[in-house]
Amino acid sequence: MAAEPPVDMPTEPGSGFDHRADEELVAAANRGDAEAFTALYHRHRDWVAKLALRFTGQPDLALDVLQETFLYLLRKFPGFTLTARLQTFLYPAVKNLAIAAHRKADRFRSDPVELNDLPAPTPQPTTRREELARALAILSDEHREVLWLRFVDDLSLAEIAEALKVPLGTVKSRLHHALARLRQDERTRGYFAP
Amino acid sequence: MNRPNEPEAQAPARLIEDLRALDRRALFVPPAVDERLLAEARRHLAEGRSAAPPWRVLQPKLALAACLAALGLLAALFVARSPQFAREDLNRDGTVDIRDAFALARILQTGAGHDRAWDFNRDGVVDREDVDTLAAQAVRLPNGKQAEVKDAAGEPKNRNAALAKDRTPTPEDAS
Repeated sequence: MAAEPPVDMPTEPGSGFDHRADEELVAAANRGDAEAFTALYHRHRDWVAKLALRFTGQPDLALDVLQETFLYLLRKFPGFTLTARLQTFLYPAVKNLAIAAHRKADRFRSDPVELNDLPAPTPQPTTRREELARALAILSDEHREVLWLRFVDDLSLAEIAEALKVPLGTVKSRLHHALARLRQDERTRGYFAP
Repeated sequence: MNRPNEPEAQAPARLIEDLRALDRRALFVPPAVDERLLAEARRHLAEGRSAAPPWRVLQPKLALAACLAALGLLAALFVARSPQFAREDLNRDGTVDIRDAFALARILQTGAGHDRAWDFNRDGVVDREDVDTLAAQAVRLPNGKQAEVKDAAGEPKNRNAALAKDRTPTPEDAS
């Protein structure tokens, strides 16, 4: 039975729509099929770009990370074996390349800019999302990371464990604590009200 | 979204919606970036490089190579002066490859700098044609390397490739 194609495949104008699953595209690229790699690139480019921007907070650095990530993937061929979702495979590469990019630029930040560079509290009422951003900013990097991966990138707990190279129990624990902190925080407890 | 088979990882729908809204910043990827990456992909895949040797065979060789590299780095730290980079090595990583073409393209796009040394096609101007020339130079040789960086002692100083084939890049690769 043929593998089901992913449901969130992006399309590029004029590039056609490749129905093959990632595993099939990887196999084809291993045989030297450049169009297969092109399809993989277009399918995952925007996610890698968003992730790179999330880590670096700077568009120019994020572009570098995007390019380095796909060059890293390209160097895996031929002979690459996909044992999990491609996003799970790419996640640690994007993360580490983003950290490396920061070090090169001598501007290391451990948190995404948009969550930490917030204005000082003002008397004016803030939006619910601004309050959420402030609450997220005081979470640890590890707790915030699992929230993004689980509820924004839609990885399963097992996939998160593989991407972060930690035990599944650790992922569950971090997610539990992250949600507990948001539940206790007066700015975000309203999300959890019945 | 919540997954029914993960009851321990449930969050309110509105929280999920707002988390996604916070992460909605998009990065514009210039078409030229797509084109260069995919051109490099076509070249690399067309070359049909030999498959990687079995990991078990490679592992002791990599371990030995890592030890030698560490010893070499220690020695270099004591004797090296300011490294001299090839003019094509725009990102100063000790290797002339497609990344340097990317770096020049970005510099031209943002107007972040100008250097006559970047006139690689010697037409008197530094423009996109020099990006193409540098890219062509970078991919001409089988291993993509064209210039060897030497330290003041005249010893080759080739950094280990930041993206060795069988290793996830780590932050230390940039240092």
